[in-house]
Amino acid sequence: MASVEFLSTHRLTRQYGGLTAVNDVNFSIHHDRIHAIIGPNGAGKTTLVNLICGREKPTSGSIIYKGKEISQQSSAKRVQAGIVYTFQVTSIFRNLSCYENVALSVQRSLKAMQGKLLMVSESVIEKHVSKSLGRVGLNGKEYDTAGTLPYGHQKLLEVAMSLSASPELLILDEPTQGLAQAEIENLIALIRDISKSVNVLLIEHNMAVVFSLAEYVTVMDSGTIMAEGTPSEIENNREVQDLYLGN
Amino acid sequence: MKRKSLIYSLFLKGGVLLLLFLMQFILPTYHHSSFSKIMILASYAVGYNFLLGYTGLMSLGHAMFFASGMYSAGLSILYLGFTPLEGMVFGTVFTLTMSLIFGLFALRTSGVSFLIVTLMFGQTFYLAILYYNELTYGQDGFSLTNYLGSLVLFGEEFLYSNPVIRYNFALILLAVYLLITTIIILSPIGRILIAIRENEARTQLLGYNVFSYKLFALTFSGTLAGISGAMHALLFSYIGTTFAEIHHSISPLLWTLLGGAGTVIGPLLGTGIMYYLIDFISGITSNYLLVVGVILVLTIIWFPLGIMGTIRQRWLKWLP
Amino acid sequence: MPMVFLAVLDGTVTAFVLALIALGLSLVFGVMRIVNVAHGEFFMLGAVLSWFAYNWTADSVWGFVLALLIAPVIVGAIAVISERYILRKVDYNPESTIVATIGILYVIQQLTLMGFGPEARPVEAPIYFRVSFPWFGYSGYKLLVAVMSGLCLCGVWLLLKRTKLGLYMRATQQDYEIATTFGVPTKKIYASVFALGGGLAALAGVLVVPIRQADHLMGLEPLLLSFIVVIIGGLGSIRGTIIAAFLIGISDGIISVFYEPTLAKMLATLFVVMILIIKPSGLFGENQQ
Repeated sequence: MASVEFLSTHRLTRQYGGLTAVNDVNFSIHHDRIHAIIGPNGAGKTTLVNLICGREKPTSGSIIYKGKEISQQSSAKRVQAGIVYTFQVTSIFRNLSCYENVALSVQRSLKAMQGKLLMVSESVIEKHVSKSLGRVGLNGKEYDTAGTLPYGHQKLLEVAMSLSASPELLILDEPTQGLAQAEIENLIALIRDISKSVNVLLIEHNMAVVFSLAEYVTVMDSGTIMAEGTPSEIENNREVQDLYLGN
Repeated sequence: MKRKSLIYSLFLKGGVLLLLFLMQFILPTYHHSSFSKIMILASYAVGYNFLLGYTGLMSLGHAMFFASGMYSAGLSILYLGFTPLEGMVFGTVFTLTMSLIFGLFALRTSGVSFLIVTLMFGQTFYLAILYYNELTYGQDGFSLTNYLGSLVLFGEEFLYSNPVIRYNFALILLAVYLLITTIIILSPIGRILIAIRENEARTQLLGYNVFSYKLFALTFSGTLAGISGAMHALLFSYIGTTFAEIHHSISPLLWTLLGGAGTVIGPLLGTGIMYYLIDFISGITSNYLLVVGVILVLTIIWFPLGIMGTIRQRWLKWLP
Repeated sequence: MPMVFLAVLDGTVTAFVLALIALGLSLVFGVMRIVNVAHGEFFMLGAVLSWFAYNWTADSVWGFVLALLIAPVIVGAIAVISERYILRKVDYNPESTIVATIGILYVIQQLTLMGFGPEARPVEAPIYFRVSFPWFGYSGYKLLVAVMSGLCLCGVWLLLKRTKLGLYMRATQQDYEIATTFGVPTKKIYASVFALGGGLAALAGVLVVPIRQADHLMGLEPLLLSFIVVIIGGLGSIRGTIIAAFLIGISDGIISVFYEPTLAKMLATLFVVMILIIKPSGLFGENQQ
């Protein structure tokens, strides 16, 4: 069965002064397969993803999401449309409780579904927060201050926040970085579970994670796409091997 | 958790307000008048705190909102023959519009630039009042006493400058401000504002148009300041440029910080303490600003959460 | 026409001095990422200390020389003390620094009021000569001020670009943590930068005081003007600061010929608003995170 393009970029470029971080990139994400972007540092992976989620605006080129051109849309609007980005370095509300962290995300999704913000009742929010925290394995931690959680749990909290934002495309930027092996396994299982209902795009350096999770891989280098294919195709790709062995 | 917070804090505030209400019957004249002033200035600080303590935006130009309410109400009463009530409404609408337009420009900047912009606009507003002094009476200011008429309540006539009227109107204003800000802070909107204060980038990437919320906070805060200014004009009759000067922009910052930014009742505490402290020091020397400066430095180094903020952190976690 | 030329001359002198003051503010922001609201008071102290120097030597030339030597040093010392015991204690948090420097502003201003008095006091210029232009004679001292400020600006540029201290400053500006790991004495650099900023402001005060009198409230206006300069030029951009200082200084001179100073200031603010609408980070500014 042919996959439908969910998001695609057309000749997408991002320049800073003399540096071209993303160069004329045609990238696409299809439904229902976990997609990973890999490549050496400075390849432009994070910039590409920033362009997709709206943190940066392109110098030229376009981004089509669900049939609409979105490259001039604000990042907030894109989240509302379902593109949710999880930061590489955890960006949570450190001084607030886990409950408040997730509730902030929950209440916006509920509002989107229900209409007026003020009509969202606190008890409904509570239910959804519990569900989200439970899904990532953080139940019972509602009233802990987010900044006091161990790093691995902070990452899980961030995933919970992202899930509560009703994503259709969840972008995870190096989700396993800084985690212990057991936590990585845990996270892989969680992502696999999430991918059953949400499209997942991840940037990863950890090859074991990539081969374990990804169904399709894009390799970037110096701002362009070097190769694309299934994990085994990429594994056997000469140029990719040179890229990584050469480094 | 939120519901518990709401109930406890309403009790606390209700208690404080009740206490203030009862005190008017036992306070000697001098302190009676001081308390009236403190309550109006405290409401100015409560409005300021909405922006600083909860949304995380520091403004050094808030005097322009206070003064705009004061002058627009006062001038409309003076020149257009508005009644005091009409003057207040006009003052409110005028300041609301002004803060909205100001916000649309100023919020394009953030952090330090925003601060400098508020400082400059505050100063410009002050200069404008001086420049158009044929209209505004410039540095001398003017008095509304002969234009206010009297207030008819319960079949009796009162002057606006009547101590009882002053005290209770100021109290009502403060009560309304405390109630409204508590409700908003404990609502979903309050959660968003606090999130913006804590981590603006994250809030935007959770799908919130941060600019709109900041604009709301600035407009709301500015309007509250304007209404305080208009009320001050009504109750104390004198309208002058001291209320548009930089010092009057720094004051709510000082009061809020000392009492506890990010707590609803902190500004009231801070205003009261500083008012009496300055009163006391002015009796000894005219250089009270020296003490103000020292307190600012000491508070920010040793006491950044302020009095109520420290209390909240150590003992009363539910305080909004 | 001669009016405009006079205005341009006056504006240029103002611009040079403004550039000195604004540069101090901008350097501190660029390297330390904080705003010193008491910056205008450093300028005022320069002027006031200058008066004391003149008073003590009872001679306009020696007083000037003495002031040039000691004012920046004394003010620099005050800056270092503030940095060490106040700013460091609040960890250079932007908002806390602003509050703390407001406090410092009040303290300096009031102490000066107590020690110097509320009146404005004039100071004699060290040299007096007139430069003849076809339409009018112009104060030679003012031209001297412009020249000396210009030399100072060059000196700072040399310091930043050519000396080890300057290199350290630029490294610290780029990235504090990396600079520390490379062995840059970042804490001392912070103190030096803050002292340099204050010293520049004080120097400006010494140069300016024979043109206008010294009084304890004179710091507010240069502060606000510096803020305008730094916003338009872009916080953190040295080049932008200097260009903006000239833009503001000269237009201020010209506008003052045709409009009252109050109105001129209001127009300046409007100008800033327009820049902000078009480019919130200023003409040359880096985008703050």
